[in-house]
Amino acid sequence: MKQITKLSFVTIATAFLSACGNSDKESDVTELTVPEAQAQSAWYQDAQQNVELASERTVNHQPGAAKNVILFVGDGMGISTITAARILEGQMQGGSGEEHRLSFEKLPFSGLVKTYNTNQQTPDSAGTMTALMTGVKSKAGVLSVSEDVVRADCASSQGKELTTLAELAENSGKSTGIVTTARITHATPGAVYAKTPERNWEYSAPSGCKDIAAQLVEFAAGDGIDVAMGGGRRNFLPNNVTDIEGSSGKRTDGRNLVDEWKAKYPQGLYVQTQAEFDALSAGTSKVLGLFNSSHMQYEADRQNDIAGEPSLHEMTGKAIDLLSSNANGYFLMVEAGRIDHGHHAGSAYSALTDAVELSKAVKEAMEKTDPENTLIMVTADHSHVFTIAGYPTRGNPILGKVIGNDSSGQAESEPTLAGDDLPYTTVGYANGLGFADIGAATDADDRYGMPADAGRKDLSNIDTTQAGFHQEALVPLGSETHAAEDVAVFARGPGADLVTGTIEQNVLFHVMAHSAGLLP
Amino acid sequence: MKRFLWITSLMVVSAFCQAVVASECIATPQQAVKVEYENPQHAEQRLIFWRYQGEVAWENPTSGQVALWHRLPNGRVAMNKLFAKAKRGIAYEPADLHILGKDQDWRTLAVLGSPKMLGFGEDDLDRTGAWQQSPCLKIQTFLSADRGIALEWIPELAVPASLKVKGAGVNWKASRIVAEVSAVQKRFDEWRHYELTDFADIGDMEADPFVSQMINMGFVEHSEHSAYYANGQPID
Repeated sequence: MKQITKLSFVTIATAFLSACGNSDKESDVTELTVPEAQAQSAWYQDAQQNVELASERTVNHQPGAAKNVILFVGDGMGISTITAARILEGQMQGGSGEEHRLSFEKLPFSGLVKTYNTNQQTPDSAGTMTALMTGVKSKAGVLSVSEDVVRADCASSQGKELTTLAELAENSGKSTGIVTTARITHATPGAVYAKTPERNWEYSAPSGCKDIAAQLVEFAAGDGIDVAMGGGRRNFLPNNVTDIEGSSGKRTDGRNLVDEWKAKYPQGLYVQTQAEFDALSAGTSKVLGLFNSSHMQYEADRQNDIAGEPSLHEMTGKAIDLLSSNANGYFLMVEAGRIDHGHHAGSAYSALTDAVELSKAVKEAMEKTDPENTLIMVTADHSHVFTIAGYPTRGNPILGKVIGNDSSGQAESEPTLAGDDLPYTTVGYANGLGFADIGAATDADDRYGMPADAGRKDLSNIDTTQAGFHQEALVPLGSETHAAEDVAVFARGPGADLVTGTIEQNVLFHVMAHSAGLLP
Repeated sequence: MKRFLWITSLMVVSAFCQAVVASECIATPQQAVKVEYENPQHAEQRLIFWRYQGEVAWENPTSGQVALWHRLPNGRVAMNKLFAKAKRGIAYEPADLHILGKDQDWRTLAVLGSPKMLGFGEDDLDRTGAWQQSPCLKIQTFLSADRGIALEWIPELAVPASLKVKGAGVNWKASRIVAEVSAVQKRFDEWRHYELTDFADIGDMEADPFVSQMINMGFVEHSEHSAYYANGQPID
């Protein structure tokens, strides 16, 4: 009885207050609209249209809805790299840059990805690609084996091999492809098909384990990898063989894996040059393209290759053409492998121009595929200690020195000076080689060792936008390092909506496998 | 007439004028040569220049470091930085050198310190007795008082016998020359067996003690040591 009385009182009081409140609101209502100038603003209208398009979006994440899956990995393409590459590409097209969007930034869904390895806060490409390819996080340095293994310990890896997405795809009758600008035996492409406790066993391995190049040629799932294009020719050739560009093979076991591949796939084509690549027809069932002894060229330097190399977007387009002949669909992994190398060398120019090339490759894929049946996912394995800093004015060259605004918000005419009265660049690194002026080539001293030269330098008379410039770094290290913050993932197609939020990296495997119906 | 020049004995520059064999005995004079240089004012400063076919190398015998440059079929230049004690090396592709601002012109590397490279012309040739000619080797002396450069040049070998640049701390004198093909070739063959790591891969090889040491130390910039054991400890 007592409880009922108390409840009644609360109910009556609430209703009374609500009524009073409503009464007050009704009497105060005036229609508030945005000013005409605000509504007509391009910013306003563009954003409004963005929301309208998003609200009309439908999703399809039924298992198996994706006939095809294309995974793009920008090696080392952290979020600051995406931002800077976006601005660079926009500025290369004549815009101010900031408003520009890379092709994959137009994909409808995105999320954040936690990249750590099971034994490292800041990851490497081997452990991260293992997560992407197997659905299981693992240690740094190992490819598609579990975290139970000891790195570089062959015996410890026996029985610890994990099944990869490529194997599942082949097993379900799909075609498989790998495209990379790194060596095709490098960590990221290697984790697609190889299982090893040491990423550096690219051309030789201790007894009981197989090297990574051999695992590519011997890949047993389905009818084998259908398209493999990248660098790393030396890892397939004996060390007494010289290739078409004058470089020696690395193998000490006498095996010529190119010849073995040709024998295994007599209907396939082995290509090494731009001309041979261009001549590939869509009807070719198997392709092995090894365009460089080691990594392929940076996109900015590609025209200088000895025998000629295709670009990442050309290889992507060709791979899609070749793989599309399978009615069951395909899985294709595309890696922009040299973004990472550019950053390690402290060369934002090289890293960003390769990131722009990745954008072209994704655009190629977007144009060649149907979003109704193809899941496109773009992500990075890890980030780098690359920063965009200062208060540069809008449209300031992203590789240039910071030129700020004056007190009225207008651009200054001269670079902003730091506390040491020296100009500084917008982009820089937290660690690495740092900027060193060009030394004499013939000193024959330690300058040849490219020693770290971190800290502040006078850049007043230096053109920091040139390819040869490497940005300043705070902590002197012989090589700039990876970074531990999250990376982004962008997606389109069946299952793309599943990449939302902040997720562990191995979740992306499950998104792809689920969408392509590769898991029971 | 001998077809090859064999100079394996210690040859001090001052003795060049007494050099030994006829110049036509040098079949391929610029293809295989080793020249040991020393700084007369600082005995500890020594350098060895090597040239063999399409490669040239600068060796620092004190640190055991070698910069081995080779010309690629497209004319570009690549470099291997070698660490003798560890028998390891870092391979720099042309693009690596480019982004590091270390582009090199092969002509400059292959005939280092040539009169042309140093801006000397015929007018700078000292013809007042400094032109020293022997049956085989001759030394041309070039002087530029304005620029403070003095060069003794051996055209048959395309190497300097001495080079002095006032104010720039450059003072090198050849102390020994070896132009024996087999001896030079042997050294290049040894270097070919070093384990090389691509410069592009250094950043992803932090687990390799040798590379890790380089990453942390900025190569040898901050260390008296030039090479390390597998556990990362410096090799004395």
